[in-house]
Amino acid sequence: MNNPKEDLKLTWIVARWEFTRFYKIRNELIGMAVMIVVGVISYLVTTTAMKQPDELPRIAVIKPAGLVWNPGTDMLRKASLMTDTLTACKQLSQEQLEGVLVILSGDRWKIITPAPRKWISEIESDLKKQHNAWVINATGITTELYEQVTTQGTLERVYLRETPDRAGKITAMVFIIFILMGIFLSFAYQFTAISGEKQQRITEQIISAVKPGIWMDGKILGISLTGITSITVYGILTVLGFSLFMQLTGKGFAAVFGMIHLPSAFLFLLFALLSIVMWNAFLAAISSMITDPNNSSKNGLLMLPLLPAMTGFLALGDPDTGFMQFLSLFPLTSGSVMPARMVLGNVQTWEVITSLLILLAAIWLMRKAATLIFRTTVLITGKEPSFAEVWRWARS
Amino acid sequence: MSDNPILQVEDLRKQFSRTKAVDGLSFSINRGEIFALLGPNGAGKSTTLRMLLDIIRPDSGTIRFNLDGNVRTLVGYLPEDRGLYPDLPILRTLTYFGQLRGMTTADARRSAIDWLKRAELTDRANDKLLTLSKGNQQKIQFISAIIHQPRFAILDEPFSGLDPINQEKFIDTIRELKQQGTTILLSSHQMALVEKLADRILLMNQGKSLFCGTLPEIRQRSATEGKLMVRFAEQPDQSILEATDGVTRTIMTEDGETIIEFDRMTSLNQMMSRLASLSAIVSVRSSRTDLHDIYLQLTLAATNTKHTSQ
Repeated sequence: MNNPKEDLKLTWIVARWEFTRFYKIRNELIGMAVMIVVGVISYLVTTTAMKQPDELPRIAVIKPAGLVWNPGTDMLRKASLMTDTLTACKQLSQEQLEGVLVILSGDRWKIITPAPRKWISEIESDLKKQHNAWVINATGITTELYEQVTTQGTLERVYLRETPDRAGKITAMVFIIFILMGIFLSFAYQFTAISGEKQQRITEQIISAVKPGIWMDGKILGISLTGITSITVYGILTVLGFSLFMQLTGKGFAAVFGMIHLPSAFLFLLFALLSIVMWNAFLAAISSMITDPNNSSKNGLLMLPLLPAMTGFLALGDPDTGFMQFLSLFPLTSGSVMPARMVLGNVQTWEVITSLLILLAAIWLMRKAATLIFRTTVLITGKEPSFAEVWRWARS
Repeated sequence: MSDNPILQVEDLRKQFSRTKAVDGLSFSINRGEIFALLGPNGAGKSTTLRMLLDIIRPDSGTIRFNLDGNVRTLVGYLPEDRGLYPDLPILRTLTYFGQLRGMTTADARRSAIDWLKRAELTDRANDKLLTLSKGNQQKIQFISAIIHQPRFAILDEPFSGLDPINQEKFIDTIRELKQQGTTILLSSHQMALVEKLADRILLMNQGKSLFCGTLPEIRQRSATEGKLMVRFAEQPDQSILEATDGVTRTIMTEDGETIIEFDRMTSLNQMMSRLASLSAIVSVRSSRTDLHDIYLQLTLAATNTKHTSQ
């Protein structure tokens, strides 16, 4: 006999069990602290490695006689002038020199180094400046005229529709990243929760107590909550960290909120939450078919959650094509494409409402499918069934 | 049979590919009894139990529980394939299983603690399951099946993997459950243990019922021979013994006793006087045919019938 209130209570018991089983705030904070430490170390290592040494590189310059040589940098001013390229290259190979600059003509130069060096761009800039000065001098034109000749024109872009503001674009990007994080954070748990339980032979006893549908709904809900809680914690900490950074750099705490468009954020949040739940239902259906996660032919399907991220970023580039309109309604991608289109494209209210309704319907269908697949494959622990077998069993 | 059985099963059938796992099985279980499904591996016992619990859907047949309320919360189940969360605290897991069976968190926790106390595992309540010995893990699994004091407990191979001491403890616990009013359906292939517990037994083979009844009824039906263990003053020759009227078979044991099987047409008095005429009898014991022998007889008879009809 169906008792919706009792079913709801049991669903919540299973959801809470799955959530508390997998979500550990302590582990989350430790993980974040490790990430920050690794980030700081990487930053320090990178800046140290990229830092220019105080000592100037030893460079030899070989130039044709009579060519005006008027370097602007210390590096080239202190370079030794040589005449023989072979001798210079020999010294370079013996590491007595770090580079050999060959001046071929007023606007053609060659630099020889053992490997790419950061200071080469500084030399290039110096040589170009020398060349500009030489041209101005040789032609007798003014500096302003030379700049006019060499400066490229600019094209001003004017759009009839209101151009997207930076805040809206950042908000959309943040939510696309959050959807991806939410899905990938929860899918490992989804695997353990379903395939792992089947492997550990826990399932049979549990589904003698609760209906497979309740069990599946509880898992989808509980593990979606795990992902959603993780991204909420990451989101809050990111805002706090960014606020601190803004405060320290003198831009002020409020600058962070200027970057977020709050009305859009609420709607995007709804899309993000529904999208995470829908993907969890999808992963639950796949996990139900997997008997051994280490040797499953269906593992490739688990890369599918990259789809909303890829399409979301594509939509940020070109939001109003027919294909993007379709993807903003298609439930596997609408969670990321619709927010991107709402920020950058021309979206009608009915499209937003339709997209949300389709997403809700997809969640309902996907959880039904997950339950049916689970019910069909619950006792299979040996050879993994194929899609065709599962379909045939489910129908029978 | 009771007028109001707690469970009625009629013409239950389930086929996997070409294998008939359960083939027209019918039985009913009375309130408060211990009912055993007995049969070898592959007889269809576990499939039957899974169908009772709606884990597998039958191809046809009816299953009727006469319980006042939700079957899922009133039934307890110990599956043959055992497993619990190995890396979670025992008390937490047991509380969760109690909640799934309709208990409040507080009641489930209280009941879990009570059962852990009875299993002498109170001090391990917050340990992970994987830190327990295999025998203790079995106890926890058993507790998880009956933590909610079910009205009807289904125990699939409850004695498998247990040492003799723990088997006896489990038998006591099952008896205790019965005394508290729980009806018990157990399946096993360990006939000696079932013999100690069951009020009624359903013998199964190849998905079919061979016989259903109390142990005396089964004996009555299957007993075609009597058995005596005799110690003679002077051991008669085996050929002479076997030539005695009514004797069907004799076995000489190493400790000097002779097992004499005789047909039921011969009365015990007749047999005793015939044996005494061969040699003076020092001692005599009668032996009941055990369930194991009965099961073998019935299975063999069923197989022969099948072959004959083919």
